Amino acid sequence: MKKAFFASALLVFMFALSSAVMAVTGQEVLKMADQAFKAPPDVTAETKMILVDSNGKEKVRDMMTWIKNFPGQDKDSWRLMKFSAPSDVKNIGFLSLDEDLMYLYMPEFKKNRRIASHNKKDSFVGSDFFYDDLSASDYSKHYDAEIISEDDSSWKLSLKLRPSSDKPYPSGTITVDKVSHMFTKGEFNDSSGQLWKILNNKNEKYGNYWISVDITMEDVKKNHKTTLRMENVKVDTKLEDKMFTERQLKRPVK
Amino acid sequence: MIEKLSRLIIKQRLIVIIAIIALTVLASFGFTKFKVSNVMNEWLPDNDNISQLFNQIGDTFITNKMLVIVFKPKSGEVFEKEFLASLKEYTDKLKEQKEVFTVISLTNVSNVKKIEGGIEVNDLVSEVPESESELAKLKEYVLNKEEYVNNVISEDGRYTGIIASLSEDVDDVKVTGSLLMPMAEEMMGDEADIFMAGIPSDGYWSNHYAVNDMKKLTPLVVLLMIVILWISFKNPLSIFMPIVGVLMAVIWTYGYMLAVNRPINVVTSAIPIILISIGVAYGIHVVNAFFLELKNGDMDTDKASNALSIVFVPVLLSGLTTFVGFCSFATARLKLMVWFGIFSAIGVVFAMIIALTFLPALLSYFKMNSTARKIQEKKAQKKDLIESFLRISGHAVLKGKYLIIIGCIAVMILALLGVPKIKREVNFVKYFPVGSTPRVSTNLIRDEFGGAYFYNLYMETESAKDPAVLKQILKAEYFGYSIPGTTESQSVADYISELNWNMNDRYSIPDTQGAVANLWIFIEGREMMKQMVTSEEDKLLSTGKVSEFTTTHQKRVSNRLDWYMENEAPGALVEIAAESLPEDKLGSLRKFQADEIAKQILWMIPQYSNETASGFEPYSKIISDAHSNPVKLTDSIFRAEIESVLENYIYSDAFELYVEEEEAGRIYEKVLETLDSGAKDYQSYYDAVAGLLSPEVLEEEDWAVESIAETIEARISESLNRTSINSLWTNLLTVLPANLSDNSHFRKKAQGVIYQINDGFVGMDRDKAAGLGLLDYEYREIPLRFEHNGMPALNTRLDGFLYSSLIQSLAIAIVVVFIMMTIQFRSFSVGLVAITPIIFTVAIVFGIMGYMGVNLDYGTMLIPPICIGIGIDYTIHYIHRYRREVEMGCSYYEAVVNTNISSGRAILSNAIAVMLGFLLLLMSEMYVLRAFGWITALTMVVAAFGAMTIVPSFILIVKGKNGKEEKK
Repeated sequence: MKKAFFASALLVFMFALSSAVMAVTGQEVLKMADQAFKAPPDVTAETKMILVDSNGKEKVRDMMTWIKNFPGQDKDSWRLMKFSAPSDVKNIGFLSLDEDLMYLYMPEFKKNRRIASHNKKDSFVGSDFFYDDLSASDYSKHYDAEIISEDDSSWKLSLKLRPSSDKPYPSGTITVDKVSHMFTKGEFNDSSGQLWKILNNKNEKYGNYWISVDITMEDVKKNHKTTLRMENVKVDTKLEDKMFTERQLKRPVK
Repeated sequence: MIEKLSRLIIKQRLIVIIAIIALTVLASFGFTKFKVSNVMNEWLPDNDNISQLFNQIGDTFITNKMLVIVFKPKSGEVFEKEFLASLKEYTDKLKEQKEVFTVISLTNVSNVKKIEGGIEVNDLVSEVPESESELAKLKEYVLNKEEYVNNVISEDGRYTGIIASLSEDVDDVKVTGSLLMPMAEEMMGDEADIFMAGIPSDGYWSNHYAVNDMKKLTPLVVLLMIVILWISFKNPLSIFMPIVGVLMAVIWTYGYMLAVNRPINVVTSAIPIILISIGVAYGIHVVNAFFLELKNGDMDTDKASNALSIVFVPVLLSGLTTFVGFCSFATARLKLMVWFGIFSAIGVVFAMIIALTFLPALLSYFKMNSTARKIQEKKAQKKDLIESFLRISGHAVLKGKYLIIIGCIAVMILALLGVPKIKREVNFVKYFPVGSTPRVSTNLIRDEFGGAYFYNLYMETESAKDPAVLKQILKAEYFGYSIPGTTESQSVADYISELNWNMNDRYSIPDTQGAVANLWIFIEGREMMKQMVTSEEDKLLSTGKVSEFTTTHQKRVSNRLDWYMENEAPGALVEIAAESLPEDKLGSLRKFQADEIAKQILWMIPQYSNETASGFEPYSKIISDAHSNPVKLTDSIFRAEIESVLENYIYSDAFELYVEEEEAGRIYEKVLETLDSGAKDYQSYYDAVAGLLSPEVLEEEDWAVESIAETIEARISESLNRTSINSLWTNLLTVLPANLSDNSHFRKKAQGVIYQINDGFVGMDRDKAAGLGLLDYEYREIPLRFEHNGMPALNTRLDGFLYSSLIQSLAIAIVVVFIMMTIQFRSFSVGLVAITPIIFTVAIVFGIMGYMGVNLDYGTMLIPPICIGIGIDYTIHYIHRYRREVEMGCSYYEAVVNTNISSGRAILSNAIAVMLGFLLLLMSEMYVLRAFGWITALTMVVAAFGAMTIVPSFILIVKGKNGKEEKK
């Protein structure tokens, strides 16, 4: 009898201990999300950028997107985008190698120009995404996160910007899916704590990897939103490093 | 019928009293919507094209509520870490307010600058510099940037400015007072002195002073009325009844006005004073009539009915005439006058209704005990000083009727000679007291930032990225440099030019829409774009500042811009393809361009130099000559430059082919060889590079070879252009004012203009192109609507309407009053006599204004209609009383004297009361009301004088009597 009781108590104790050990923190969830986002070694996609102004008027730009990630390395992703339509932006290219090293190619002038955006709040080609949003640097490096709620499918984290960081959003919340570990929603505040932008992600699985195929950023103050919609997504096609060079930036889209 | 109506009113007196009181209470609810508002563009007719465009631009670009906020550090200077940090925090916070549409300050103004190998477009102070040296560098950078000075920083760097636009649907005056001012005070008040100017600020302060004046002066006016009426009539009824009646009329009028959402403005704020003047007179006449009945014993319903029926017609006719007189102002084009006319007219009717219903109903209850009656009888018997004066003046009229008429005609002629001296001048800033916050602020902002009032260059077109359109707006902006008292306007064309300057060392609009679009990417989505171009990219706006709010200055600016639109702006825009032209036509086109360039340079010069420029011809000749001597490929300066450019390109990471250094060298040598052969076209360089590659490489990298050839062609073209422009510039220096040779800002822009001489596509007016025979070749039509607008256009239109509305309304009022008087008295000659005093009074008003240098503005323009409205009242009562005296059997002589004594007392006391009431306006804090007050005060006396002298004089002359007593 005593042995059975002792064994049961030990079992309960070990279960409780393991639960405590296994309980995840907000910071860990955020890190998981960063890793999930950068998990695919590379991504190629046809992307539609849809800008919707406060009157509901749409402006659509087509582009090709190539992304090279470095999973497991402390290195920012590389991103190359080439506009293919409409005609006034065709062949304009954007290359991001670092959050402070970006190039723009202007086909009409036959010139690459470096754009050093020290202001993280500069809009990317008039969209509701900042250049910083596209540089895809790890959130976990810049924000302290806490779990404020969770259910069977997701965690909701509160984010607070670290003093040493200069990201555009001082605070906010994000929702991370428990299966994909990808962001599904984000709400970002301004310096006075007012809601500023809302991010909605739709994620799909390609092979072993989750890709955000529909990303919408809405500026609630301006009543303006931008959607990046990826189609014909290809993952892990072994994109070469030389793809992400100033030379390649000049190559016209077909 | 009048008797029946009078009896009915008296019989139902209790209902009448309750109903009037109830209506007064109801009307007072309108005050819950109390609002003072002076929105100038609302004063123009709805179908006025200037006003419509002003509103359209305001709705599209949210520019009608722009405010300039200036800070001066209390200690230290602008370029200090703590101050900049506070300014940045304030700017960011202000931007977050939903009532604020855009904010441009020193910290977030767009900064376009070259960086190593690239270009940077960001907020000027995205991070506040930490070190002294960085701050000093920032200061030097900012003070050397033309587009910042006089916009976000003063020339000496002591003041920093913010341009804020309020959102479309906000009450800008309310937001200024409840948000902008407190927020600036709270966040910056400890560190800086704060100044604000612009339309919202003017509106706020106008309301502030207007409300203060109303609070201060209204009780004083009422008190004054009480005192005057006591002195005149010495009995309580004659004081309180008229005052009560007129106050009710004011409540009804304002209550109704506010209930129909018509806020009080600079002219309708005078309505209470007008109603007090007119309404008191009605009340006095009614009370007097009742008082006369009291002599025969206590008041009863029969006596009350009788008293009312006696006074009903004159008060009614007087009221109707004044009503119609004010209604004539409803025909004015200026809505400001229309509202004034309509609401004054309605107010007069209200005053009349109250005087003929409420007062009699109350008075019908009046009882006087025997002691009081005896006192009143004794008073009535006692001839006071006023009566003596009136008797003497009556006799004087009899004796001197011809002299009076001749004298009045002479005075009138003299007065009319002063009319041409009248200046039309509206200056809202001067309305405020000297040394007051709004006045000091506006003057400071004018001195340090070029003003807080804006003019616009507006374009509608198919595509805002069309270079032909952007070049037109740039050309117009350069014309603006030549207009004194304005700061250069800014538009998206300036940002595109600045980007082109940083990218390609050329401050100009690129030649193709694709190139514009490439540069556009850098500025898309930035704050300032919201007020420069629509999201559909089919409308553009360029905004500049006007230093003075005076009508004279604004008209001058507007006229200059009108000239430009008439003579320089294209009526219909076409773009000629220069390459499609034969030699002779190309020569004509280049001559045209040379002239255009010369003009633009000459326009720019006053902005940068006080020295007089040489005439037009030397510039045009130098520019034309340069084009006929193009730079050759063998030119040594060109060769030095192009070799360096090509070398940097071929050996850079951006070169399209992956080649080792040795191979790059071979390509470089081949390219130079091709250049030596005199080739500058794409095919030559494609062949040169392709010839060095194997077929396999060529097939794989064909895109790269194409791109290389295009790039080399572009670089050669740029270098040739640059070399020729530098050479042309050297020649131009021989004719430019000497002090401009070192001015880098002028050089940058002037050279940008000069680049146009080599443009492949040239925009011009269609008729001019047709005149040069260019429309037989390749060209493109560009839909374009191009107009100027803003405060100068608005003020000029308002000024025109102010004058025409006043003259038209006066003329109509006089004619209408004449017709009414003729009908009323059933006599053409009496009608003529009746309007003579008001014509005389109006002439005196204009004469005073001319000789005393009082400007015609929104305040003083009310004086003539008030003279008519009040003056006719005096005349009607005088004539009525006179005729009654004659009907009762008096001779003309006796009738004049008796009328003087009876109606004359009422007229005189009313005139003095009103005069003193208007003189109280000298205590107003606003200049416009002070001027309005003393002139109107004077004209009240003149109107009364006219009624009591000119009218009887004319009557006696017309009747052919010479003053001897005559029995009828």
